[in-house]
Amino acid sequence: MPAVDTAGSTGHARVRTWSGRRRRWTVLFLICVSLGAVSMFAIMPAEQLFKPGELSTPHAQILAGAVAGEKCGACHHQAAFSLAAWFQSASDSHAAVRQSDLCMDCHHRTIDANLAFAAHNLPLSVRDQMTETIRLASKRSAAGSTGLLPRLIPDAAVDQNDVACRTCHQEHHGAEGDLLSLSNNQCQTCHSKRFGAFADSHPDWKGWPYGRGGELSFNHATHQQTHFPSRKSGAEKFDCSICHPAGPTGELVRVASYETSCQTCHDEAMNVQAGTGIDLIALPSLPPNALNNVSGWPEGATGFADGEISPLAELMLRADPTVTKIVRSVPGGDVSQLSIEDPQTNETLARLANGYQTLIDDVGRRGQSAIQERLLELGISPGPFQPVLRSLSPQLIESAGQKWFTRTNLTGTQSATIARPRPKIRLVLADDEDLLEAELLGSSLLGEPGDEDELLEDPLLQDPLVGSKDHSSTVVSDVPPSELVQVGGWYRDDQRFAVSYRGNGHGDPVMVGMIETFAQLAEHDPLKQRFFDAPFVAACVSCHPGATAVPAIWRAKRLVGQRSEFTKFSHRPHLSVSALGDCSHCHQVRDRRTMPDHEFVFAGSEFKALERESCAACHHANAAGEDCTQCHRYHLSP
Amino acid sequence: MNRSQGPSLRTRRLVALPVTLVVIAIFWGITRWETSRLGMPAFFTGFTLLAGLFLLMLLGVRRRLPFWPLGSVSTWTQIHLYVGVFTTAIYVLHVPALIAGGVLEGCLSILFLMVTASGFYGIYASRTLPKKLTAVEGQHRFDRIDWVRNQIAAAADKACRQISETSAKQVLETFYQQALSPFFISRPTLAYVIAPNGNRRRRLLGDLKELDRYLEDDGRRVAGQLAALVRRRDDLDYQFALQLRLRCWVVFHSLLSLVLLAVSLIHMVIVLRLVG
Repeated sequence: MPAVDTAGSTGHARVRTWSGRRRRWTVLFLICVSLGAVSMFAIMPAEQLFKPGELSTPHAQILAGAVAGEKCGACHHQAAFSLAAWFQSASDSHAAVRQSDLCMDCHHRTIDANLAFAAHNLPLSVRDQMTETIRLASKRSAAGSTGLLPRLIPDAAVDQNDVACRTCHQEHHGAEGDLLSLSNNQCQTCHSKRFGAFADSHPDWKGWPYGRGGELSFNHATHQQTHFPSRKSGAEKFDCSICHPAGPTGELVRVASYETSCQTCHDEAMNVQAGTGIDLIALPSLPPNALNNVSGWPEGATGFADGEISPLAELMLRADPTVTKIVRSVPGGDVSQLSIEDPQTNETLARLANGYQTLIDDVGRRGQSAIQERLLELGISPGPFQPVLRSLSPQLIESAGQKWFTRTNLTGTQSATIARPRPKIRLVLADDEDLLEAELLGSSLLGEPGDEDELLEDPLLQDPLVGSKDHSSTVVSDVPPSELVQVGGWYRDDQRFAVSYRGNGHGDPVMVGMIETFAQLAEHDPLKQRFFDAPFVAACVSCHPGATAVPAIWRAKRLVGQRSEFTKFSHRPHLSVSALGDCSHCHQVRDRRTMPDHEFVFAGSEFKALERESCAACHHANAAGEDCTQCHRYHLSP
Repeated sequence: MNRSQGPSLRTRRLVALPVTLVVIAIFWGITRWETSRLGMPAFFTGFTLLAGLFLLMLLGVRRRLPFWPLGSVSTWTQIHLYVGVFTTAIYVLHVPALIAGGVLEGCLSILFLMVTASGFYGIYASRTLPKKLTAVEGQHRFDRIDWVRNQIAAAADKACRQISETSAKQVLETFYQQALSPFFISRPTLAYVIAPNGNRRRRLLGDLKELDRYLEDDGRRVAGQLAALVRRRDDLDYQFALQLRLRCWVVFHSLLSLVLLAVSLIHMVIVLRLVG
């Protein structure tokens, strides 16, 4: 240690030079710092020490229960802080795992994992197509020049087919950190077409927000300008809030329930349109010549070739290979359209009659499974048809067969009555005297109502468990059969030789099941067209066009929160502006009375276009803002 | 401008400051550019900061290599100063908040800000303290100040013993023992070292002046010698305080810079390790 002799001092003490003292202080300071660092390592977990800042609230809440190592490891596969681990990363099993892959461990529920890293979660081909659409829209747009500044936005530093999550979402900026914060320039860096201020250069939107739904058919113009003024002398005003009230969150409901918004005016008309319902089976009238080889065809259904094969019956008959070509050859399902001069017609009708008998026998004998198998045979999922099956009793079909068909000359197909497995109690009786002996088969004993046969007088047969044998009530009701089921249900009409279903107002599950079943038929299948043209079905699908799709769409989808569209909008914040409380401020219905029909049709929407200027009045940098992310979402999912 | 001494401070400032501001503006533009294109501006600014820190540390290396023809220390100091200003600006571009949230990052932020603050104090001190030092009489090497202080104390003691007049001897010796001797023998107080002032000097000289009425010619001569020694000692203490302040600042700035560089390297390694 250097020291100088302080000559002249009173004590001749040796004192250190400044350099010596500084060196000593330096060493002491570095020792203290080292000790402090070691102490921090010892006291504080490495994960906590190296954490570069607090997580955002959502992530912090999720990881609150995890132990320290797992917290880091949830997002950083490299989060191993042991000294040895730092030198193993090149060969460890997680070498190919990226941080974004770990993000998807949780976010795969909302983002398609296959497209998670593609820009906008869309495949390249779709993005290219949309780019072209926007380019053309920009050309057509009345917006002015985009200005110089947007052109100076640099091209993206990321591969748009491999965009890491952290490119846009920066973590560890604390609880108040905004993970979704992106500037307009950052949004546009990937885009080939760039815009400046919203008011000046954003392209016009063509029809938005109209024409996005289509699940429900509703014409605002005719309701506002025709129907409401003509009802009750216009006492009831066309009020948007009846069908679009504010929900519990303050957001407008897209469409209120049928009971709230439509029932008052439409319930009665809908019931009238539904009429007596839909036929499952309705026997056509067939000429006697055609019935030479057909046994038991009811006399009441014998005469001129007349009547229509109901769509439901045709659907079932198609599954029978012996008649599938026959039913397809009947024009429009109407047997009267068949030429009586054609020698093949009688053969066609005979086989059709046999098909009907087989169908009734089959359903009566095997019940719901017979129908399900026929649907499966046609490649139709029987799932939607289940409400129909649940409500339709096979005994009703069986009783119809018993009631309508005489069995004296039955050949070929088995009679429903004979072929039906007997209840156990009947089989016990048959042990003593087997009633299913071959000689009895085909006899009229079992099929003739009102027969005096001793067996039918057996008191045990009156047991309801045996089955409804006595369908020959002599009391004839003068009430039309459809009126017997005023609140809806299946009924048998012996006058028309029909088994039909009468619906029960709006949302009848049986009708829904039938419609969803027929929707599965091929688009150009004439049977599908015939079914949906029927008045009772038209009463449903005229307001629910989406019901003809697979899967069927009955309700208007809530658009707020939907992740399938680039543009998002919520009425809630806008309704706090008093001027916007009046819906017509933005949504103005075109006036049909002053507008020629062709113009109205070609306008594309019954609403006047929503102009960009109406939004730009508030949405500029000094007021409501003009950030891209205010109206557009990045992550899209179907 | 004196060609042998290079451009004046004013000229250098007029050139270097705009150049520094322009470079800062360029780096700000690059950072904005990188941010706009969804790049990683933190990497750009971070490595720039690290490079800046190394460049700043080179001044200390240059000081320890006086025999190599690497340019004058004055030039190096000027470069150090403007690189420091530039690095501070890059730090502002680099960090999301002036003091980061994490433990390590928080310490790093505080370290950087302390080094920066001490650096800016250094600029102030280097502009003001030399003027104050040259304003007082005498130039003393810091390591010899204790020796000079003892010399002054010995001279004062000797002067006090030279008094022949009885009445003056009694007055001056009493005053010397009560007031002057503690002043000459002891080192300056911590309060004086931190904030040197002329209070002691004015008080002692005033008291000595008050003694004049009790002294004859011989006594007044000795009192004048003692007053001169008081002035010398006070000037010496003033130089000591200012030199000590400068030296302590250099030590503080350099030691913290060392720690800052070490923590910065740790920060860089962790970032490179954990970046997704």
